[in-house]
Amino acid sequence: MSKIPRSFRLLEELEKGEKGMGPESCSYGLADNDDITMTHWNGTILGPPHSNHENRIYFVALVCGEEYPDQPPQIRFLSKINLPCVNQTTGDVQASSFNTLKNWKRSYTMETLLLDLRKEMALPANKKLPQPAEGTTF
Amino acid sequence: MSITIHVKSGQNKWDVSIDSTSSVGELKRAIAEISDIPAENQRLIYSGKILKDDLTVDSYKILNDHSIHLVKSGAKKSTPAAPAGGTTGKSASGSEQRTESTPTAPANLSTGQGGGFNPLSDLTSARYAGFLNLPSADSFGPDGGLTSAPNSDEVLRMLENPVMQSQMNEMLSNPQMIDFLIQQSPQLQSMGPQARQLLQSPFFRQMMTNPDMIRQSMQFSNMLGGGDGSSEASAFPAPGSTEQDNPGRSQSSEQTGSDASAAGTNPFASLLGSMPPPQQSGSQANGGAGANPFLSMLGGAGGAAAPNFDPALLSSLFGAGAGAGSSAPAQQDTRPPEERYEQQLRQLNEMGFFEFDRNIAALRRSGGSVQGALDALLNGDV
Repeated sequence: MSKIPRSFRLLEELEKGEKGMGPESCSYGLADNDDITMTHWNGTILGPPHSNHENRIYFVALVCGEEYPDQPPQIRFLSKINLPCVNQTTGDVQASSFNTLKNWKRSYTMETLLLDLRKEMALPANKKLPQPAEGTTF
Repeated sequence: MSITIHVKSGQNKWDVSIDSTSSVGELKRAIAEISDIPAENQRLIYSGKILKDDLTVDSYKILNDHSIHLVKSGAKKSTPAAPAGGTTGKSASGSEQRTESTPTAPANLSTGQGGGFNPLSDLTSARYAGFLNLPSADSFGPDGGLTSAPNSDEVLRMLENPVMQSQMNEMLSNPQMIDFLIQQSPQLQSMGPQARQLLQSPFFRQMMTNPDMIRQSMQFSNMLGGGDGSSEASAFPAPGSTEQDNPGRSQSSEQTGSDASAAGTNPFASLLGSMPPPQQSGSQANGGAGANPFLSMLGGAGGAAAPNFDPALLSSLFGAGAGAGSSAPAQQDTRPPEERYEQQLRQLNEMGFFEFDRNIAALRRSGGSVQGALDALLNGDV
């Protein structure tokens, strides 16, 4: 099977994000609509219920490099969050401690990434972690 | 230029037409009009950005037919520990969107299975991904409750659990849950509007949550069933289902006298088994009162309908409530007794009762309750 080129893949994801065809718990789109290289993206994750993240909205920035989707995008939290896989000074999601990035597959999308981060928040080990005040940013 | 924007919040979805040069604040007020969510409690998300009130819809490049997410914000003062009351509804899985659902309107009885409110849909949605404290499939039996409904003493044990009791109470006081239960159970559906009345009556709720009462009622129905000879010990017909199963009986319910003689061995069985027409229920219940006070109590519970609790109906109710998702009607248990009572027989064997026939007879009498069977065996009743 031939590989879907980067731009087609990203256009597909863009449309899915804009039309809201994905799940309700996350949203994503281009940071700058004039960015024809489709490199910089914004994402939001709605905190999972029954956790300290409930009712919060987390902002992330994604960078899809030239090698996407063969290589995972860089992803960085803009909202402050206390999670083991997030660098507490920069907000970067560390590939070494986040399985979805570590074992990236070509079939994964930004949506996969956002949903898996949300799952990470809901893990029993993480869901009761004390969180910084809402609205603070890295 | 006027554009139509889809606003999604949980299972709710609204379409808003608005001029693309208007501000986000105006958009929120437009949404507030159709959704009853005050503008100041709305958080709108589009393409990974939260929309600011003072910017225009244009500036976010929101085009016709695009979707934005609406997240209700909780209390104004958000402390990290206090989960705000305004949680969003359940997240419908991506592909499935209901165009319109008014959560408070009662679902029509005749709508198809699963239409409208489904409390179990949460369990399968991504919203609960990663939560490990859901009951395991094991709690519904070896096959996850697909074929074998929990037997009566398991149900009773479940009911004695105080957590379960409070859950049951909560469940039965929620009108949506009642609608759902009715939808899930063909037996209740065929009872028509009476089913709702019955389920909502405080008496019934008390009865459903009082294990002693259910045990009594189950024993009673087993006693009748056992005396009938023709039917399996625990397979007592459910109310309403008799019309299809047993036309002879439902016809004869118009004249109690001949009915009793037709049933032969046990007049009460037919009285309980067939759903009397509403006008006659009073007199029938009264007629039964002399012979058996418990029966009249049952008759009085629903006003018009005489409920009788066979384990199958009970477990189908609980099956739906407990999340087993068994939408199939409770089947009559036609398995041979050694298979049906396999577990109980093993227990009895471990206690030193090796006479197969006596064990089976005792279990039949007790409706599958090991405790009851032991009593029967020790008293020499079988």
